[in-house]
This record gives sequence, C-alpha cells and structure tokens, in this order.
Amino acid sequence: MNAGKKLALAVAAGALMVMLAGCGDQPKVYKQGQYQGKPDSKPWDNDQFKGNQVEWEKAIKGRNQGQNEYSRAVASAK
Amino acid sequence: MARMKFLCDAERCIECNGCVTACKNEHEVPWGVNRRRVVTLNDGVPGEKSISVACMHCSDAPCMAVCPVDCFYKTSEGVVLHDKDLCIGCGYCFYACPFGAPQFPQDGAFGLRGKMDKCTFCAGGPELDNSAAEFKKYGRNRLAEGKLPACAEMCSTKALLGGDADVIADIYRNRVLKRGKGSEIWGWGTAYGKPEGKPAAQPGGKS
Repeated sequence: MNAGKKLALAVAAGALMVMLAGCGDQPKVYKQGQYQGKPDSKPWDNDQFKGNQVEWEKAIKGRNQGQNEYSRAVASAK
Repeated sequence: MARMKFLCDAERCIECNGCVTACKNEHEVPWGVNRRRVVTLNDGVPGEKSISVACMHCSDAPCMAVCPVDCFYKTSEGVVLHDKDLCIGCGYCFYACPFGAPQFPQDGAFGLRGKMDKCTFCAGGPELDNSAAEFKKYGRNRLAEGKLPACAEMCSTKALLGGDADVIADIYRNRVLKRGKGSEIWGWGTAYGKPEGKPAAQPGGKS
C-alpha cells in the first residue's frame, strides 16, 4: 500500500469517527423528583432593578398596599 | 418576602369576569385556554356566591408531585411555574390539580393536548425576563417589573387579592372585622361595610 492510499484510508477512518460521534447521545442523569428544566432568574435580576432585591420588595409592598382600600382612603383623605 | 398567594373574597366578587379578561389580554392567551375563570355557586338564586379561580400556587403542589418529567419548579417567592420545553402534555397535572388550573390548547390537527398552560402569577417562566421568548411561552412577567398579577390589580371591587400572603391576609382580616358580620348576612353593606350611624342588618336579611 502506497503512502497516498494510507493517507486516504486514515482520512476516511477519521471522517467515519467524526460522523459516528454525531450519532451518540449524551446520557442525561435524571434525578427523581427534582426540577429538570432550565434555571430561572430572580425577578429583581433585570435591567429595571439591577439585582436590587430590596428595591424590588419595596415596589411589591407598595403594590400590595394598593389593594387595601381602607389604607388608600385614609391616605387620600390626609 | 413571604409566599405569593391569591385570595378571593366571595362577598365582594360580582362575577364581572374582569380578572379573566385582564389575564387573557395581558398574556395574549390563545382561544380555548383560560388561566383564570369565575365560578358561581347557586347562580341566579339570591345570595349566590362567585369566586375567581386560577392556579393557587400551592405550598405542596400536587401538579409538581405527579409530573413524570419534573418540569415544575417553585420560585423563592412561592410561585409554581413550569418549563414548557420539557412538558410532554400528558395531562397528569390536570387530573391532580383540585382547582382545574392546568389548561391544554385545544386547537390543531389532533385537537387536544399541547403543552400545558397555566397561571404564572404574572411571573413568566424559565426564559430571559421580559424577552420575546418568555412572552410567547408564558406571557408577560409583571413580577419582574415590580408589579402584581393583572387580575388582582384590575379587580374593580378588590374581591381578588394577590401578593404577599401575609399582607393580603391582613387586608382581608381587616375587611372582615370592619364588616362585623356573620355568614348569614349578605349584600353590598356586608361587602363594603355599613355607613356611620346605620343599624346593623338583621341575620338572614339583606344588608
């Protein structure tokens, strides 16, 4: 076998290996009872709150009290 | 921050379906899917009671327990969410949920069982906050904007409260104390309190 044939055989073997590697499936380790999906970010980790949890909680607390018409009526009467 | 919860005051709910409309509009929920709905008991009978129902974001959620692919997760704020990329639409969560919260799109070639859709407490899902992908799959993420669910904030009679469980429980407790009533009395006066100087309604009578 001459050098050219050897090289062609090596290239073909290499290509075959690469192609076969694409057929493989990475084993997924399933953990029973644990969330398997994508991770979610915190509601304050965004451009608006810039990771400031305290600021976010302040906004939510304000909105919470916005539903209390007794305190809203008192606040508006003052 | 305590856990996020919904609380519906059946004395105040007037079955206007404003919460349902707000939800559908906010998240552009497809036809056939209702993340929230209003249930009325003794409809048409004096004293009927209505209550707005959606996912209650259970502390020990049965949907999470039965999901065969474990696509559910609970955020640090106590909101039960799921990953639609993982959902196989099996419907187990629908059978497990006592509130009928999980919904399945009913259009398409085979009619039934797409990816499950449910109330997200306006908290989106596991995609980049307020991204187009998140909106398409889960709807708007109001919580990331520092806002509470649209249904509760839009409720005209403030029957539906949503937010920090401790705070809304206090609001409701304060409201009930001001009513000063037993469950035998019903009507507007019961729901909104009595004007100063007016006598309290008699049990069994309209307030």
